[in-house]
Amino acid sequence: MQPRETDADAIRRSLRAPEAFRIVFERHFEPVHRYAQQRSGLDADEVAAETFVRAFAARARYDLRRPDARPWLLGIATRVMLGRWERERRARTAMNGAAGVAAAEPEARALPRAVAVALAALRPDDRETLLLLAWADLSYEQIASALDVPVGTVRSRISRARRLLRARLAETSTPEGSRRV
Amino acid sequence: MSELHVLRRSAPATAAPSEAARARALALLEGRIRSERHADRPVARTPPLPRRALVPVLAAAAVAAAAVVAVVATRTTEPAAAAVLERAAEAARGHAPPLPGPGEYLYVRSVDASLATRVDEPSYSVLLPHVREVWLGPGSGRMRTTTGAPTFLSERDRARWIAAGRPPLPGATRVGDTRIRSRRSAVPADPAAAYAHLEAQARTKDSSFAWAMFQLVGGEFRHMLTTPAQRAALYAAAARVPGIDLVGDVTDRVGRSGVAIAVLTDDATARLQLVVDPGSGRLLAEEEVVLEGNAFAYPAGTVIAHTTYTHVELVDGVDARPAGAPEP
Repeated sequence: MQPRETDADAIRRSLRAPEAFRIVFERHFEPVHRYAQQRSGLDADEVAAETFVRAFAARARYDLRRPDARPWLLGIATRVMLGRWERERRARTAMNGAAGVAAAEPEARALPRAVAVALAALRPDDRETLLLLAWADLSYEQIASALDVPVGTVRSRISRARRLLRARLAETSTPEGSRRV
Repeated sequence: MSELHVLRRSAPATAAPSEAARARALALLEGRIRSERHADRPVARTPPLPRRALVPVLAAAAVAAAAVVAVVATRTTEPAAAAVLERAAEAARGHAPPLPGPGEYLYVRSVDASLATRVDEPSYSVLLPHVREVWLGPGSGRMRTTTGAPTFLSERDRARWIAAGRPPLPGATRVGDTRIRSRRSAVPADPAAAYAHLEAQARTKDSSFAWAMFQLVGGEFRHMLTTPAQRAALYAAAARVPGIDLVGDVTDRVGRSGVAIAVLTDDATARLQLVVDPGSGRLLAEEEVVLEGNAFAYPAGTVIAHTTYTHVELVDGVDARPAGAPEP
């Protein structure tokens, strides 16, 4: 049986034969779309589509030593979503003034309130890193690759995020905390 | 139940994307593919952005034993660091290997190691060693990677692995061998233009600017065919990066003396350093070193990833190795 072409092989081939990039799309559109659904809800179609267009444009910089392109694609999807949310935030600020933009993050739409509140309290970088771990199931090393940050930074962010999340969830599990939330 | 389990259980349910969504996304992508095909130009391969490289054949025990950097000198300031890199640039301009001619290959052999981390509690990390050989010809090449046995960087990691029930560790000896395309670096030979070229890419990264610049410089050295003038320009560009620091004289993983120039993470818990021989202009190694307060709780000075170049020479075949470079 012919061994399956890796994502890196397909991306390398696509530098000469651009249509080879369809293989990457076929393999990863669904997981990228599902992650976008978790993070972005109704915008998932647009986020996933934009992710592959950007990935195609950036494929010459792909690290061909990495056979699996999923972390790279999820990193691009993360940047796409952050960019969209930032544009939305600016638009809201322009319309409502800074006081009107207490800004629940998009994933808050579909989460238990306690979890949504706890996530909203995290620093944005920490939250993105933690969710790539918890929902996209990437390893520390894959997250470092996806976000272009040192692996020690990933570990710090996750450690800090988990600590804060733990504390927030503990607050809301107490009777007093429950009243607050 | 840990907070991570709570978060995982709370993940919003998802459905497979609709056929319409898939079709729209594919149509958008196809449009880009068509326009590039009609432009009829292959895409220039710019340097991959190696996070931490792979490589050679150090015995696992030796890797672990070598994990603490031998820092000799004290830190000085940016002008001193820039001066070292400028000196390396001058030397590289005169001594770096030329581009391979027909039938020739640039043989680059490195010994690398990088971390692999178990996420679930009890979390632990192991260091995976590799030997990487790359043959870069005028148009094509070959890459051969031998992965060695993993090692623990601390007794704490080992204890956590035992507490986890001793699950299989990643790595073990295996060999990957693949044909690759070899590419000429697109970095300009003029130092200011080289800096601008790298800066444009570094500005798109999440890591600190200085860190991204050093990664880009390392990537060019590691994966691209560069002329002596381009190598000189890369050193000169690195010399201009704000915040560079002279670590001082160091001994690399294979016992050679060099000078380390570093940049820090934003939180100053790790540094990325280029180890150079200023006299010859050779890049000896790239190393990621953790500092006080690092998230792994390793002693300051522990190397958690490195690429150590042992051979960079022209050879006359895609299977040929220079003297002193045995098959891993």
